[in-house]
Amino acid sequence: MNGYVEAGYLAVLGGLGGYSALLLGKSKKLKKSLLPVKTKNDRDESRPL
Amino acid sequence: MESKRYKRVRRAAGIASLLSVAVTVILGLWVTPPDVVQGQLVRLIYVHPPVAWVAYLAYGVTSIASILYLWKRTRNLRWDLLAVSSAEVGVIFTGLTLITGSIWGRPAWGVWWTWDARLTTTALLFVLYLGYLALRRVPADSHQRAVRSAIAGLIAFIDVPIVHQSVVWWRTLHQGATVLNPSLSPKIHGEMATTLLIGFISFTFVYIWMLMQRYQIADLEQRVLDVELEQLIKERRNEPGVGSSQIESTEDVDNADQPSKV
Repeated sequence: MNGYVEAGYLAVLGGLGGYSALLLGKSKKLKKSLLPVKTKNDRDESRPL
Repeated sequence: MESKRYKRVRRAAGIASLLSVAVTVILGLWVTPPDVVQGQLVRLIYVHPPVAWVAYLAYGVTSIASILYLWKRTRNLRWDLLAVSSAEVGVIFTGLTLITGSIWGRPAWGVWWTWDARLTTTALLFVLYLGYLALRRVPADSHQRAVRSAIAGLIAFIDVPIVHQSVVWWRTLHQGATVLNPSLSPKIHGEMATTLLIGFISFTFVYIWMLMQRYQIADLEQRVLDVELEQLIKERRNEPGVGSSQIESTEDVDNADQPSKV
């Protein structure tokens, strides 16, 4: 082709791909930060006292 | 947490996006014929107008969500989250519209940029919604921020019909609308028209996936804030000399660093 067409497609695919990766990474990080962290002092509810 | 249905729809939109964008690229780059006037450059038509359409769509969704937040009967913070999610995706698509337009303009007009009516109003649209996103970063409580940005979003939307009509209202370098022109007679036919239609559909799928993903992030960010606030209240209650009755709700902590009204 002529270089301009390829550059246009590359810009669109690169831009959308980059933003998608950013969204996926951010969502993963946030989900991780909301996971409850078990500490030593947490009592195991399933065990009888 | 997000429902199973939401996850399923988002996954379906993601798969549909990947497949349809792949089809658009294959058809656009290798299957469709070159144009009599534009030659190979015409292949940019399968990405440039669809990307611009998604920007219009995104700002339309932002406006509807803003109205729904401003209207007291439907007021819910979820509309505000939807509005900002759609605006952010819209800014990405507007940026891509400007970039692909510039890449097309260089060989077609001989310049990367010119202060033509269509280009200028599109650049203005980009700046207006960047301003909308910046406005949301100004410290305020969630309601105040939502009202402020809903009004800003609605004002910014005035530019969307101006961008679309700019090629009709002013003498411009930019070509007129190929499909949605005043006479409503598409100037494209056959496999080129089909590929253009697939392009519009594929980038709409991409928008749906991105919007759902961005909305989930906005929702999670809100939840993280709530958890942090709860933590702060707990810590404050455990401080010596502070009774539980002194801090009754999250609202008290929320307003703790706000200047008192005189």
